[in-house]
Amino acid sequence: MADLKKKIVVADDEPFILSALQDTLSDSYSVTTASNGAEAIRLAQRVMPDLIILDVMMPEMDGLDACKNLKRDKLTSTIPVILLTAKGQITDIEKGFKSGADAYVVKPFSPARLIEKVEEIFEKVEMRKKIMEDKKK
Amino acid sequence: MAEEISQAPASIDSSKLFNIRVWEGIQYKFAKDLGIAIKVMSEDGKINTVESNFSDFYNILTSTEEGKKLCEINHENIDREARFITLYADCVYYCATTYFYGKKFNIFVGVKERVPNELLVKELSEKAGVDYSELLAAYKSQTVFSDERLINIADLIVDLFNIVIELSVQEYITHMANKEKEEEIAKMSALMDASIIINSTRNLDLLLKIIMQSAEKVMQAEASSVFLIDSERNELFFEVATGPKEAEVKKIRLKMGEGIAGWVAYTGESLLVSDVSKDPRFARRVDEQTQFITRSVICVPLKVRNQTIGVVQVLNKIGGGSFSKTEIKFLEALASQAAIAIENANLYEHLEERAEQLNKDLKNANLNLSIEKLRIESIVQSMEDAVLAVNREKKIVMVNRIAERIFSIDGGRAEGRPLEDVVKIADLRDNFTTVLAVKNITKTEVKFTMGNKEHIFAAVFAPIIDEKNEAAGSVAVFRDITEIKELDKMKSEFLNMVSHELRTPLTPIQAYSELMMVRNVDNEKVKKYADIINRETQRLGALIGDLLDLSRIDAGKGLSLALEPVDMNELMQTVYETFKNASARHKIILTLPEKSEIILVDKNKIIQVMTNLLSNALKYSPEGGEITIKTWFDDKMFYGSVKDQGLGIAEEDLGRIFDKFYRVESEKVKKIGGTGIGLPIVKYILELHNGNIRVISEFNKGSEFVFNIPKVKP
Repeated sequence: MADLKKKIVVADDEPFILSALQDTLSDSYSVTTASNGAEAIRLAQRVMPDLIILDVMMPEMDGLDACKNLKRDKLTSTIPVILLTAKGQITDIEKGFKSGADAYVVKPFSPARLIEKVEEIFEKVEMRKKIMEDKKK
Repeated sequence: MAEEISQAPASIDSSKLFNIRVWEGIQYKFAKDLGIAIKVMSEDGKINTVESNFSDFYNILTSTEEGKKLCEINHENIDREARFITLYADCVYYCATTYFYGKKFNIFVGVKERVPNELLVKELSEKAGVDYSELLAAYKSQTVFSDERLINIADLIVDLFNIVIELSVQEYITHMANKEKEEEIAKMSALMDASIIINSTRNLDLLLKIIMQSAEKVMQAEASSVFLIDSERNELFFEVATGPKEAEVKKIRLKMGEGIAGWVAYTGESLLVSDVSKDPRFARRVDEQTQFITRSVICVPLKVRNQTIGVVQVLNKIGGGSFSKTEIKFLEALASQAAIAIENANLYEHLEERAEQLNKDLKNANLNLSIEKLRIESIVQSMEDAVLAVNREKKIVMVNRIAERIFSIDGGRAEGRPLEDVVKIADLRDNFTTVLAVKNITKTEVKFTMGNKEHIFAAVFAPIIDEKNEAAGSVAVFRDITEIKELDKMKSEFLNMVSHELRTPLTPIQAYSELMMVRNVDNEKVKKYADIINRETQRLGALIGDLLDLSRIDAGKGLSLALEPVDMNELMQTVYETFKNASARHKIILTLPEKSEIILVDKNKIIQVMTNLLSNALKYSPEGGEITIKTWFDDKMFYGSVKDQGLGIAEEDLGRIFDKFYRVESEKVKKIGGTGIGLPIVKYILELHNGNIRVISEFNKGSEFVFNIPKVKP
C-alpha cells in the first residue's frame, strides 16, 4: 500500500515548518525531508519523487538554485517543483517561475490549500501523461 | 594802415620823432652840390639844423646878441604857410613855415645876392656889432641864384622836410603799432600761460598767484590781488595778493560795495580809476592798514556762469601814468581765466573728494569681494561634496579638495587643465557639454573607486550663467551617496526580511492550527501541535517585541527596565529548556556556576538577549554542531557567553554586526533569514544594564558572544 503512495520531497531549514509539511502531507503521500537545497537534490536523485516542495530561503543552497539544478538535470527535470516561501513579492514570484518552478505557494500556507495545489499538479501530470500516451497510440 | 596812421594820437611829439640824420643828409647834399644854405628850427627848439655854408654867415651874424635879435625878429615874422624872400644885408633869404602834428617848424633857405651890397653888409655889421669884412667874406661865399630858382628850390626843400617829418612820424607810428602788437602778443601769451597753468596745476592759490603775477608783468602794475565773495557774511576777502604788502593785505576784509573792489563785486562791472584820490568809492582804509599808496586801479569782476564770485584788481602802473581801457579787456580776459581756475579748482576739489570716496568705495568693494571670494573658496573647499567647474573651452576653473580626491588629481593644480585630462569617463564629460548647450540642470549617478571601495556619487551638472544670460561654463557637484544607498538597500532588505521573519513562525502556527481543526488528530498529536504552535507564537512574540523595541529606541523613547531580583542560574535554565529541542542538528550545552547569585536585572530583557543570541547561534550554524551557553561570576560582574561552531564572522564585518539592520554581505548569510535588529537590541539592553558585549569569532569556525552585567545586589 505504501508503495502506491506518491513520493514527495520537502525541503525547509525551519524544523517546525518541515514538520508541518510532513504532518500535512504524510497522510496521503510518502514524504521525505531535507533541510537545504543541496540535500533536497541528493534526495530527489535518490528517491525520484513525484513532486518536490522547496523553501526558497535556505542555507547552503537556496530553493531557487536547487530548482534550477533539478530542472537542468535530465534525471529530475520532469519532476514538478513547488516553491514555498515567505517572500511574497511579485519579483520573488517571478524569480521563482524563472527558476523553472511549476507552482508557488506563499507562507503561511493553509494545509488544505497546499494539498489542493499538490493534487492539481498531479492531475496536470496525469493529463500530460495521457496526452503523451494518446499521441504514442 | 594809412587810417591807423591818420588816427595817430595827437600827443605825438613830431619834433621828437623827426629823423634828424636823414634831414641833415639832405641839407648837406644841397649845400655841397648847389651851395644853398638851409636851416630848420622847430618852435620848441628841439630841432635846430643848420648847413655849414649858410652857418658861416649866420653864425657870424648871430654871434652877437644884436645879430641874434635881428635873426629872431625875422623868424617871428614868418607866418604859417607863408613864404617870402627877404633881402637883407644883400642876402636872399627864403623863409617858410610848416606845421606838423600841431608843431611849427621854420625853414630858412638862403643864397648870396647877385650883386653884393656892401653898404647893407656894413649896416648889418654895425647893427649886429660884428666885423664888417668878415661878414662880407661870408656873404660873398654864397652862391648866386635867381629869385625864381631860389623859390623853386626852397619849395622843394620845404616839401622834402615835410616828407622827412611825415616819414619819421609814420615810422614812429609803425614802430608803435608793432610795439602795441608785441604788447598784445605779450598779453595773449600771458593769457595762454594762464590757461596752461590752469590746466597744469590744481593748487588754486599758486595758480591765482601766477596769473596775477603775469598780469602785473604785462600791465606793468605794482601790485595785484584777487578777492572772493564770502556770500554768507556778504564780504570780500583776499584770496590772493601780490606785491610788497601781501601779508598785511590778506588780513583785510571788505564789505560788499566798500571800496573799488567792493563796488565792482557789487555791480559786476569793470572799473578803471586813473586817480583814486579823486574817486569817492576808493576805500582809504586798505591803504592805511597796509601802508600802500594806491594811485590807479583796474578792477574787473570774476564771473563764473554769469555770477560774480569775486574781483581781480591791479594797482599802480609802474613809473606813473595810467592804465588804458584796452588793459581792462586784458584783465577781464585774465579774470575769466582765473574764474575758470577757481571753478576748476572747486570742481577738482569736488571731483577729488568724489574720486577719493569712489576710491574708498572701490577699495572696500574690492576688499569685500576678496573676502567674499575667500569665503566662497573656503566654503567650496570645505564642502564634503566634490565641486568641479569648467569654462566654455572646457578648461577647469575650479576644483575642490574632494573633487581632487575622486578624480585622483595629484601633481599640482588642476585649474587650467583640459577636462579630459582630469575626467576620464566620457559620459561624465558629455554632461558638462550638454548643460552648456541646453542651459539646464542634469542629474546622474556615477561610481568612483576610492581606496579599494566603490563609492556611488549623485552628480548634478549645472550651467554657469553669466550676467549676459549666457552659459560661461558648467559646474558639477558630486555627492557621495554610498551610505544613503546602503541605508536604502538595508531598509528594503530589512522590510523584506521582517516580512519573511514574521511569516516563518506564522507558517507552522497556521498549518498546525488548521490541521487540528480539520483533521481528527489524536491527543498525542494535539499536544505536539499545540506545543509547536506555542513555541512559534513565542518566537513571533519575541520578534514583534524586538521590532517594537527597535521602534522605541529609534523614536528616542528608549527602553525602560523593570529590575527585579533574579537568580541567574534559574533564568539560564529556563532559556535552555526553551532551546534544547529547537534543532535536531544542534546540541545545546549549558554550563552554569555551582553557586548561583541573585542580582537585579530585567528578567524578560535578559531572556530577550539570550533568545537573540541563541537564535543567531542556531541560524548561523546551519550545519549544526554544539552551541554552548556558559555563565560565571566574578566580584563585580555576571558574565554570559553563547558559542557556536557555525559560519563565523569575517574580520571586516566584526565592527558592524551590532549596527542596526546590518547583515553580513555573503552568499551564505543571504540565504539565512534575519532582520539585522537582534544584535543591536542585545547591545542596547546590556548597555541599559551598564553592561557590555563583545564578539570573538573566526571565519568558518564559529563565533562566541560574551557579555557582562555589573552585579547589583537587591
